[in-house]
Amino acid sequence: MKRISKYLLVVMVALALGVGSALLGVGLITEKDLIRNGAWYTGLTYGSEQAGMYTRAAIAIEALFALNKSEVIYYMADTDYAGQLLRSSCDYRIEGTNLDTYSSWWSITVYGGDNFLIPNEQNRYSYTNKNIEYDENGNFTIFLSSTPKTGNWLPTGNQKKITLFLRIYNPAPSVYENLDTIELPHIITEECK
Amino acid sequence: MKNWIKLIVITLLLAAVIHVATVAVLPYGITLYTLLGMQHRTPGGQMNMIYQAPPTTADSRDVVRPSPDLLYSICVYEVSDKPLHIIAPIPNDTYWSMSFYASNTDNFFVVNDRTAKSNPADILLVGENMPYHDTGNSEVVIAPSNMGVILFRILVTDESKLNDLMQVQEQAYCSLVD
Repeated sequence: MKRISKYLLVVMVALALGVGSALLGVGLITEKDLIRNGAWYTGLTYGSEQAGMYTRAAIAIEALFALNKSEVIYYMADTDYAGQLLRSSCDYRIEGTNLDTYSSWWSITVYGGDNFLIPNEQNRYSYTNKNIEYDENGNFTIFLSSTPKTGNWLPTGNQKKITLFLRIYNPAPSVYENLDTIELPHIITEECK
Repeated sequence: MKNWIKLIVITLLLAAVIHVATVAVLPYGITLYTLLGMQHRTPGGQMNMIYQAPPTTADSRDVVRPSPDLLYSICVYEVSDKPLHIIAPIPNDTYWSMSFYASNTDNFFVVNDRTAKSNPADILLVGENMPYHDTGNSEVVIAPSNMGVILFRILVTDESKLNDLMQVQEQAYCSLVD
């Protein structure tokens, strides 16, 4: 009896260690392979047959059925320009120049902590280069806030964590050759409650 | 004392095996779970049939981080016995793509509005080492796994075009070839 409980304990501890370290490892090892550009980050192996097993596991958890890089470049951001986590209790400004030189189609979408769209009365979750309002210089500003704003406003509801996705469809080669240096929108914190 | 060292070594070795197994199995497990959920959206929960998802909203919970700017259609495929024939019309003046995923999340083939060889796009998906009749009309694609999913994406950038694009979306089909 004593021996059985000893081996049961071994299995339980091994399970906790194995599964726990696997989930931690998926996050850490995948993060090491990310390409950073300001607050934004991306990976070149999303959806690719060259993806390693840790990347595949990360994709399955966070971006299942992602397209490969020739089709779409996915930039993600979960912090502002200063590195502070994005959350609904703060208001943000996303300032960008026209990204049309990178692609014919691009969009910026906001997700909640559960990785799904944030419910809101306006059913507004994203802006694309076709429906965003530009200023006279061809630049844009998106306001990320839980309270209504005039202009380009993405509601953030009541989320402890929010994530932004910038999708660049059919990217020009200059995009995926310069992922860490191309000009991307800046995410600036305005105020926190 | 020796017994304790032995137990610690066994625990660590077992933990290492479980670690590798967890990382390796996760993509297949999550993909299978998601595919089965998608399959149940079709009449009778059939595979090899297209499901036209409604426009994406906060209620869309099949796949994490859906794009609200895309109309999605889904065909969960199973090609262990017969090839699958896919026909999909391509709308004008917007982004469109048809992407094929294996059971390990790999995006092994994609065709878009710029690269499609015909309109409608015409693909024959066959399992590895499967005999098939090449009519010459379809582009033949080999599936690295017998089960997977095909996602059709249409970009909607103008709400006034939504109905027209949904009509294009409805014309796509996938079905097994006898």
